[in-house]
Amino acid sequence: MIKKEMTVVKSLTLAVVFLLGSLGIVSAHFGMVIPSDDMVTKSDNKIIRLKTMFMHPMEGHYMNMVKPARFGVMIKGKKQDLLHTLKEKKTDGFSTWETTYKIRRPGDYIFYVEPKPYWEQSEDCFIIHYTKVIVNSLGMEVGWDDEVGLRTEIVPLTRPYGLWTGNVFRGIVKVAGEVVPYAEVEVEYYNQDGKVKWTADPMITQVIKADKNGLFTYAMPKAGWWGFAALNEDKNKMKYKGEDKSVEIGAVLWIKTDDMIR
Amino acid sequence: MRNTITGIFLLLLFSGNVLAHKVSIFAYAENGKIFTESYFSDGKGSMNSVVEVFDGKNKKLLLTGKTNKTGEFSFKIPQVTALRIVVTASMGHKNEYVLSEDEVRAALGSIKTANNFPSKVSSKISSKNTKREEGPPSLKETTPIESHELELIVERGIQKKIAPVMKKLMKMEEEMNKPNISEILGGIGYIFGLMGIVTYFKYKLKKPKE
Repeated sequence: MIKKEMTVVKSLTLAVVFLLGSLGIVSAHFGMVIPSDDMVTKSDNKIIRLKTMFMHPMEGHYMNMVKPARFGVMIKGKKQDLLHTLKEKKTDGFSTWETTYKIRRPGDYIFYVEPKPYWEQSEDCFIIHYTKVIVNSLGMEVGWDDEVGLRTEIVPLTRPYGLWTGNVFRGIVKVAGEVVPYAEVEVEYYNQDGKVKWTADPMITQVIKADKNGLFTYAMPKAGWWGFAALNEDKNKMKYKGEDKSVEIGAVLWIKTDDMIR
Repeated sequence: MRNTITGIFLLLLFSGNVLAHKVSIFAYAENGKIFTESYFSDGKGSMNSVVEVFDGKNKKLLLTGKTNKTGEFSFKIPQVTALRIVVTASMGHKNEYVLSEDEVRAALGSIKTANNFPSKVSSKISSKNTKREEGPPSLKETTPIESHELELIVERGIQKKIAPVMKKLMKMEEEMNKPNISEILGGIGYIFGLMGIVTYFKYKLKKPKE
């Protein structure tokens, strides 16, 4: 009888330990910029809403995001600062940022955000996710493959809008304008309503490695927003309480897929 | 014979581009005029295309025109109503853009516009965007000014300031339209191919006579 109780306690303890252990490792951070519309047609509202946040998109956990260092839009190679338009919005008690933007001309609009460094205690490093999303306006498909010139960036080889569920997406990972051979890319689905469940932790964040040319490929299995985060360690360190700490720089790109509806 | 074959090939060569891209039209109202841009999805202007302007309500044809080399066509505001602007590119590809009555009226500098604005949000946005350099200046931004004259002065000022930016944008667009090396090489390839076919037929036609 006592022996049996002991094994129960033992296995319970083990389970708790595993649970705690897995919690720390599993969660992948993602910088996010999500627009209310990714393809503005002539009948659509020309005013789009954009929200930017830092979270675990599949699990739906937010992290605090202080006001970004940079937030803007690039249209046909021309950049426009939009940082002053951002407004703080608390979501689940965490800071996220929102703005509205009026689309005025045809063409591709690349929205980008450079957050301030985020100190991650459990990983003993800073995280900066340079994040972008591309919005097409009025059917003029010009500009989506332009490089914004961020410290690290995913350059799409697949047009990053007008994608069907099941389409393949290809992109190149760059740091300081140079391709990163065998770069690691994490992929997550923005599980907005929390309806997508998983049977094991590796299902939350999918992992791809780029080839020797920094090129990665992924097929999206479901309609919605998909985030790609190419992670690299910056060669520069940053100080935390006087100590040198490494900086994880992420190139993040968000794309949306739609189901083929008959 | 030779002419027909060359003609067919040239036709295929030109139509290929049109078929691959959908034509679109975009319009905005400014300074008492309507500016339209017709373009294919790759950003190339749809040139020599017929533009028809209809009354948005009773569908009456108000005027027609043709786009220039860069796909643009502009005209004076014919009447203060919603306008439906239809472009017809070659091969019968059509598309249209509807300008709302509010947008048309705003370009005439009417003070009424402020009240006609659909929502609070949009007027907020346009005032926020006065700092931006890209795109046409909208008169919506100047509506709160009471004097009509002052409004015109401000408008002219914005126009002057934005002119070089617009010019730059146009130049950039033009540069984008220029063919790149692969396109040029492709074109040369086509020419050689055509010549080959022509020579083949020439040879074939001549041979039986010998």
